[in-house]
Amino acid sequence: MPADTFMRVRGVTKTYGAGDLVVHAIRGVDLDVGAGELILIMGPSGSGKTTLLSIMGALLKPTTGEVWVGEERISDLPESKLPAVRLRNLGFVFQDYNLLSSLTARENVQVVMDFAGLPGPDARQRAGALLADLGLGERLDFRPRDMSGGEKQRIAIARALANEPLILLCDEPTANLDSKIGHDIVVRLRGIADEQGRSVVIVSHDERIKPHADRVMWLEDGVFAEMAGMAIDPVCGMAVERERAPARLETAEGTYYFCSRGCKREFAEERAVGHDANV
Amino acid sequence: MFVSVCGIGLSMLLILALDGIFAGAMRQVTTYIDKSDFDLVVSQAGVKNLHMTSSFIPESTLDAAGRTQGVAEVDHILYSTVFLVSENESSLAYLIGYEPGGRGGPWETDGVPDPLPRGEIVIDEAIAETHGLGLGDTLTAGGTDYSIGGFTRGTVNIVNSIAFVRHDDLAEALGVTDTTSYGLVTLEDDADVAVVARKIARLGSVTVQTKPEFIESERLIIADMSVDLMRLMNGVAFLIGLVVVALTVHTSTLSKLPEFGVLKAVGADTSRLLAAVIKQAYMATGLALAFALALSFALALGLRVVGSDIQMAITPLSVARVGLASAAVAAVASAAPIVRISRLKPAQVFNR
Repeated sequence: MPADTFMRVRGVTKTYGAGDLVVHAIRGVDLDVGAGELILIMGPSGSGKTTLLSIMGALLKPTTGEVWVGEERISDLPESKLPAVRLRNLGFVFQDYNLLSSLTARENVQVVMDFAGLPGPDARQRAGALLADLGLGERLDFRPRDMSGGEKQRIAIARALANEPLILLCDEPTANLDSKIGHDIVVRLRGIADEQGRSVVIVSHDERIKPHADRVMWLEDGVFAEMAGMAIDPVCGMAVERERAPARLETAEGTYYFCSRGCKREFAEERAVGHDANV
Repeated sequence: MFVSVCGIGLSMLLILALDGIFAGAMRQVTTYIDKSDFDLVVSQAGVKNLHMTSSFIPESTLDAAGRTQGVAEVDHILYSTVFLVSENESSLAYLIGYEPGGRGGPWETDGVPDPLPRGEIVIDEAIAETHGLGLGDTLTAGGTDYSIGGFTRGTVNIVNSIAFVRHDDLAEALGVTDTTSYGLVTLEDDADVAVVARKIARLGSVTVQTKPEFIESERLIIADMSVDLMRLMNGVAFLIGLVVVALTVHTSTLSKLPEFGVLKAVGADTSRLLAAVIKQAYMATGLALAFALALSFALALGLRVVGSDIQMAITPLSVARVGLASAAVAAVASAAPIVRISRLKPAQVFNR
């Protein structure tokens, strides 16, 4: 593996159930994650994005295929060894933040360092510094319930960075945030990739992340598809395959593709209102 | 956590309060003996307590006891279990006939003349309030009318109260002469209690006990006769309390299951999670015990302040019993969630 490739995914499949009820969630995915790279994985709901992220995060075992972190093939490791792999190499940022409600911001970050064996005073000091870097220096002793969504997500990022992982795996990190704060979070993740050389893998529906990504991957039916054949639904912002779009609208300025007839109807109504107003 | 601590604490309070009331009641039933100043008590042969007994010994025997080497003084008391009857109320009481100026009389008296005039009775102020009686009013005790000559305090217990009259008045009411019920023996400073007790016992037809033995005999008879029900209630409360502790610990641990899943996802191994569960259960139980103790002492103080007949005595034994039993139950109640936590799939955190 090249020295600047932190993670390699080869021929990974994940199958649930058996016989007539078998579901192929992932159907042979290959992916290299380079140092300092921000990869955005998009795709419709149920396409296997979260399953793939779980496999990359050593939270789920693939049915077949290999996952390498550095020189270690983690897909073959027994369950008992995986917590240490996650602790050392991987940081997680979740859609719902997943902070511990009874702990302060600092303690939420510190607890992961405690697991890694960092002595208490050092962990406390480092947790404070990480949070301060993310603009939460004044909020160290606040509990999650007293903080905004953006602040909670920054605590989650600090927790993900606590043990200096190679890779940050982020599941819909902007889904519960308004556009301004969501943008702030993405800029911070981009900065982590650029300044710290860590890899950031984001699974999201959020089109606004695309300009910040080094690579955008489209996952559909458990396999990566070409982005060239994709279009963006102008109403909900979802990426849809041009060929298989559920609805489309031909206009003088071009063709619009929609994820549903509802989006098409909404789009058409808004255009009609705009036209009336202009008249 | 706050809700868990309150829930566990209140169930502990239930146990501590009933335990305390039980212990307080047991203390109250020996109040008269506790308050009276003596070293040995002499009673009729075979009689070892006050409650529901009658003891008659010749005064000449107590006079002989008074001449025993090492004895400083013997005070004679007559005793009878009676009903105090007023116009509207009737209540059970120990009626003590004491020698004016001697030991064995009322305490915490307010304006009671000494010696108490003939035909007068001293009753507990709580009983006087219940009966609606005041100083100088008439009260019938064991069929004899007395005028209320004063009040005492703290004699009411779960069984009865204590009333005091002159020894000669009670002797007359009981129709006895040259006879008394108990001798309260005070020893000289350098006397050996056991030696003097043996010497008095040799006078014949008497039982001699030290003050602690007399107290223990009284507690035992009360416990045998009337406290079984309280013990049963105490036992049921104890079980209910522990079940609530167990359910609260179990539920609060299960409610944290998603957070344990997060910890597992970010790299905590199972042994750390199990340690966290146990630590959380013990922290909640410890805080709850402190909370329950504070409430129990406040309750005991409150009962005293409002002058309730019920006394609560929080004993170290009771606290230790509740603490240890709760800790054991908390550990057991954590066991089921521990199995679920160890089987948690960390990938579930992405699917919340």
